Amino acid sequence: MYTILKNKNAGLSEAVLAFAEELIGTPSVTTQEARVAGLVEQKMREIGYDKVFRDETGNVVGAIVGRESSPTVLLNSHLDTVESLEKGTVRRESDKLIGTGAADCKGGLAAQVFAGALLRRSLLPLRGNLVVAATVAEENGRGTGVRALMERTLPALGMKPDFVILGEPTNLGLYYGHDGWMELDVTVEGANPFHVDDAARAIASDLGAGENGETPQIENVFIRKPRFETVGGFRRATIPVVRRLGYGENAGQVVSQYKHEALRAAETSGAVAVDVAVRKETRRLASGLATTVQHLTHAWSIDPFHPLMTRAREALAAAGCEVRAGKWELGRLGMGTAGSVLVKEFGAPTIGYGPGREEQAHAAGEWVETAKIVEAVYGTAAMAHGLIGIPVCGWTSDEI
Amino acid sequence: MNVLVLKPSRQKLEFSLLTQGSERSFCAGQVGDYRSEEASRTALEEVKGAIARAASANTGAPLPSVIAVRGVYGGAEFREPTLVSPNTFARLERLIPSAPLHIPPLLNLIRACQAAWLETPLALVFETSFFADLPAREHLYAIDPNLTGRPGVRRFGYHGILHAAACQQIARKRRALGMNAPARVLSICLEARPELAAVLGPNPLLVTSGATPLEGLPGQTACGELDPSIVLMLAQKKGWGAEQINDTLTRQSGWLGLVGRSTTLAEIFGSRRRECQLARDVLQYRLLLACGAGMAALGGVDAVVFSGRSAAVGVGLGLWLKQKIESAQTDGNAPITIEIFQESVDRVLADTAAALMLTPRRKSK
Repeated sequence: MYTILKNKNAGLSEAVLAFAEELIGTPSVTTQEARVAGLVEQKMREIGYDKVFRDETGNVVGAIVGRESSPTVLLNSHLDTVESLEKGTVRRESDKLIGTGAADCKGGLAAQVFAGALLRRSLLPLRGNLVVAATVAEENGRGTGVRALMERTLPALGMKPDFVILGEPTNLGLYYGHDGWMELDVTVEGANPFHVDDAARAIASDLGAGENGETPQIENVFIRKPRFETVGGFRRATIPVVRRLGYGENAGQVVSQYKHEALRAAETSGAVAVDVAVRKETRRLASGLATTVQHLTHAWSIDPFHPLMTRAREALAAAGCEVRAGKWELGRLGMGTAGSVLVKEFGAPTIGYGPGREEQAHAAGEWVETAKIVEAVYGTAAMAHGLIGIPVCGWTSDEI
Repeated sequence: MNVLVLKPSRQKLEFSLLTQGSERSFCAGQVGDYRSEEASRTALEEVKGAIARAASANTGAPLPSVIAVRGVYGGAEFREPTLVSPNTFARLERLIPSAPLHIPPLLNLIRACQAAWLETPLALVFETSFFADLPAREHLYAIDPNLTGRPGVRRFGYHGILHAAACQQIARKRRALGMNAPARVLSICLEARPELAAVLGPNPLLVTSGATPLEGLPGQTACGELDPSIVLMLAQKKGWGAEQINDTLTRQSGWLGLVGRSTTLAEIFGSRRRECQLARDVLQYRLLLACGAGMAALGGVDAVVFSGRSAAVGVGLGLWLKQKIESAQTDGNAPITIEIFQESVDRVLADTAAALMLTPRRKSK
């Protein structure tokens, strides 16, 4: 079976790299993913996915329908990238594709789309369903696209993912979770501007504004200097705080803790109102839909011995791929994956397996190794087959 | 009648056009990958091209009157050769879970054949059909069918086409000699996965293979018969999943495992190397045991026939087997007694210990 997969994958390697290059060369900053979505949709049709469509949020969904209604594996990567000066420029240098989103996660997206192609071409029959979803609006940290996918799009298809594999950068490791983060606004309001200013400065100083409690590689909390404005005759100060959320930490408790500290710091500053809340924002998506989102990404993790991890490990080992389990470090605050939404809100067992390197995500001159993209196609197809394929026990493709 | 024979195998499609009145094929060869629908179409275009090229050197391109396609697995669904009809596809689709690597490309090949030779009938001949009517005592496993998750798990043979033809040849020869009683034949197919069938007249009574070709005699890369606890041990001790265990047992075992490198039957039986001798001993011994089982099922044996691509190995191997079988038969001249041993294990243990105490002890060095 793996000989067939390997041979067919070799035949697809140029095509997947060309596709990855095309994706990286097409700008797709969050909320402007329509063009790149069109490329994915067209490629899925060319490959011969049984169902291909774009949902109302702008997510592209391709499905290869199995012989039975379940289980279903969802391969998910995001279409959008962060803002960058390189906007849509891509170049291939010996063994790398270089350009915004190369690692995070257009290399992974190309590999996932072609994992479906590889399973199709290898004629390995599937018991369950394979869904590849390229989702919008992930890089703003709110998971808008994947939430719509899980809430409406997949239920409308009659499919509920039993397992999810993200194409986010893992350098082909099997990742099973990461920390979360939240953005808080500490606000101080009052009629007397001097009281507000004094209180804001006291709170900011108490919380450590200007310092950013960071270790050399890992940021844990970042507190910006207060921003002042006058609203309806009242003076208002806002102190933005970005903070890492560890696994098991509760966002509500963190808000309470910050409020307690802010109130204590403002005690001697006169009559002011102090509040702390998770930042909210309304955004218009590429599809035209407006959505309000919180700046909050939950920490998430699945058991490293969850059946999804176990089967993924077993399939990769059998396929002759390196097996390396771990978690994303998320060195910079504000980063995350759709796993927060998938695991914490929908209870969908999720892992990551992508060709990019984590440290390349959002980096200037972002790159992904071409060989890793090709191997990701093979590894992803092997895992998907292990999860939803018809077992080939006792048979080989050898002459009988 | 001109018959185009197509034998899909691993990554190639072998073909041969046999024409009316000719002993030799008009044209034969092999083309590469045929597994996808598109690849099948391309492969068949190459077959057509090869026939046309052969025709230019002869008298004209003969059109096939029928196309015979070899299928590895037809399960209980295809009990005899079948002409392809519209419902054949659905019948084949149902077999995919039992032979997931072989049925999907076969479906593509059939579709491509129908497109390439529009009016030509297509005959499917399955290796398993010969064994579709194995006695229940032979084809059943002693497990609860509800626990296997796949109904219809049963034993088949996977070289039925050659077994059937070889046994027919023996029947013809015996009839020519005036021997009309059904022959008791041990049919041994020497392929990459060797297989023995015990056949009475036209009916197989026993076969070494199982629910898949993995069971039975050790093959080129397949382990053959194995204690199931070894599978469990691989899962527990090594932490391997189903795929890796399958790969080890089907692709890294058998003669490959015994010799330590890729080898052939011809080398195993022709080489004096020690590692080949070990593999030969194991294979001969397993084959001899299978012959014994076959003879028990048949109530004796009238003929042993070898077939398959390594059938020539049967010349020497056959003499060895014949000697062993005849020796076992002639040694059986004395009447066999039947005894019942009724002592308990406790008694045996007690006697063993008592005997040990009475035996003079050697001084330890």
